[in-house]
Amino acid sequence: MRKYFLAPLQVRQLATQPKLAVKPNHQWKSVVGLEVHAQISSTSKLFSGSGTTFGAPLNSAVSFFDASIPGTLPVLNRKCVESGIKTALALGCQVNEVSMFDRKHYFYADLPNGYQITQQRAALANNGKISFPVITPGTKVYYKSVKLLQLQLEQDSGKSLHDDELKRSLVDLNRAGLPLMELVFAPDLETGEEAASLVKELMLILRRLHTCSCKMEEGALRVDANISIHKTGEPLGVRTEVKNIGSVRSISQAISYEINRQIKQVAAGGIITNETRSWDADGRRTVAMRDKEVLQDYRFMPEPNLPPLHVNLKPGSQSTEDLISVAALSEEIPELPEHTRQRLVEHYKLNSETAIILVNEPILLEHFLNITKSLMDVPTKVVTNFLINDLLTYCNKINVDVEDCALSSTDLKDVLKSLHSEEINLQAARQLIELLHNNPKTDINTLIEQHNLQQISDLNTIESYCQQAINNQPTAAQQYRKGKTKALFALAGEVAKLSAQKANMKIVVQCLEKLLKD
Amino acid sequence: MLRFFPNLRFYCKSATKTEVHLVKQRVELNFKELQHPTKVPQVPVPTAFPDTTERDLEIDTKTIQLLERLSLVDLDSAEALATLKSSIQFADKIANINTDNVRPLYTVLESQQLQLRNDEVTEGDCRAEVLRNAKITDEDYYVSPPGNIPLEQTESQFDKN
Repeated sequence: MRKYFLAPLQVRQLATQPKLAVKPNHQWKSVVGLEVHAQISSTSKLFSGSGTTFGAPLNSAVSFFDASIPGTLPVLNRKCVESGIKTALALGCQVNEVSMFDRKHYFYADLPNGYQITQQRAALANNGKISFPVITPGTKVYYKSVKLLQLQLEQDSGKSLHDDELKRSLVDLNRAGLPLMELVFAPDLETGEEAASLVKELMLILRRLHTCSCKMEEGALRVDANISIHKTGEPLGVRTEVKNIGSVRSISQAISYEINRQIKQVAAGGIITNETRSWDADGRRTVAMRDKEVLQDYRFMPEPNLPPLHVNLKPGSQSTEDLISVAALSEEIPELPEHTRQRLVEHYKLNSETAIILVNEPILLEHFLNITKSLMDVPTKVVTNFLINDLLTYCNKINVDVEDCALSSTDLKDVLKSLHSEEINLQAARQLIELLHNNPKTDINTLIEQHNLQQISDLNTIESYCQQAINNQPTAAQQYRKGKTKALFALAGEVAKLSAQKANMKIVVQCLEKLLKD
Repeated sequence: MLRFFPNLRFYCKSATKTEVHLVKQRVELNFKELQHPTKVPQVPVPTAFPDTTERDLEIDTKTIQLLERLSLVDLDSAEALATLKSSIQFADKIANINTDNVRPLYTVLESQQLQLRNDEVTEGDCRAEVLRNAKITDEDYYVSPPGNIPLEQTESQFDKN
């Protein structure tokens, strides 16, 4: 997921899976809409006082209400409402003064009530918007804006484990009643990459707000995609819904696959039926889900046990015991990712691509801000290059999340300081990343000493290396003298090899030029 | 009652202590002195609603199947089907009430403030108690029949009705 932004890696991925790449097809237009379920970070559930710890012992975080024992009633969690409102505000929504709860009926064993409490007639907020950079390997970054139709609060269901052999389901109700916000986006997207970029941006926003952990692997953020195709100028086609998308990378793969599947199906004379499909991450395909062909009848009805939820929309108002002030919450909204990007571009004079990469990897941004604060004289370009080209590449190479990398901002600052003062060269700096990752909390001067990484800047030593290189590569020297300036690279490379990558290349180039001119 | 259930959870403002106090006060009121003691008519009121109980009613097989699936009630007998028909005929009256320009009332507590709870863990950790309600359990799981199995449905089942 984090390697998403490294174009070369992504391209390599696609090369081994050619069927996933969308061929440019100008005849067909694809329409993609997303529904995102984000679990609100809270200590207790939406309507009951049981805990929300992920991976708690089976059926332990279950209250009588969650188990649907007759006579129990829902009491709304204040924090969940506040988190929902904060998220709505950050996404430019209009928060509704009065919102209501409804029952949506399903008959599943992991939903003991037989219904889910959600918001259908009057949601918490409507009419928002999310703007985000779209990063597609091989194309220029562009911005896309998608309308957020609705943000509603609702309960999660329990979890079922299906035991095919004994023909039974095992039900754990720990998840039943966890608070979710469902975000319904307008079908304004066209490709899988756009969808993945939207979710990536949404995750950055939710993490800044601390309203959702966004851990897709724990199911804290779930994405359903509605996909259809049509010819330009014709009405929209029949859509299918793809569920069970478990990672940001899967979003783009699943949607690209589904668009291609539909195009192929129609091209072969088939028709698309309105169905729910599931993403099979191992097989990299979408498969039809059984027993879903029947149009669901949810029999929505107002939730009789919960009066409407009122919020205070007056500017300058304060929250009271049972009335939350939207104005007071809007004061708590932190700087949002897009604002940070603009600040990086304006204040630190970074180009927008660099700003996007830094903001999309919160830990890199933290390193960048810490380093530039203490190393004022190092150009920001050197810092960002080092973080993105060297640190990020190293982490990807050893397949470690940048967040889990053992290097602290201070370590990186020390390395950059030595690099900038020409005590070490870039090769040594790269080696230091690896050494520091494997020996955390070691003083970098000790490491430089121990591994003999100091850069060789002594003129006499370099001159002898250069002379040796010229002797070793007489053809290159001759070519250079004849005017083929590129031949100097071969000689410089030879010096690097001779000096075990430790020579100061700036001086080497000057020295070589001088020697060859004589 | 409050004294016996100190841990009872309350769901809206009307159940707070001050309100209970008010209820007590009201009990002491003399209802005969009130101008409008109740709005519920004390004698049946004739209405102009058409009688729909005798109306002919055809329910197609698909609708019956859908109802069976939703309600998990087997309608595969003449008696069950008759009961269903008469329920629909009785309820059909409601369709003749003119509700133009009437704002729907979802709850009489509409103007009440929904009571909010602080985000604290106060319940749960009672697995033994909640699982005691289940007929079959296995290793702390509830055990249920697999998934959503559609009911066996054939046309012929309904033909005999």
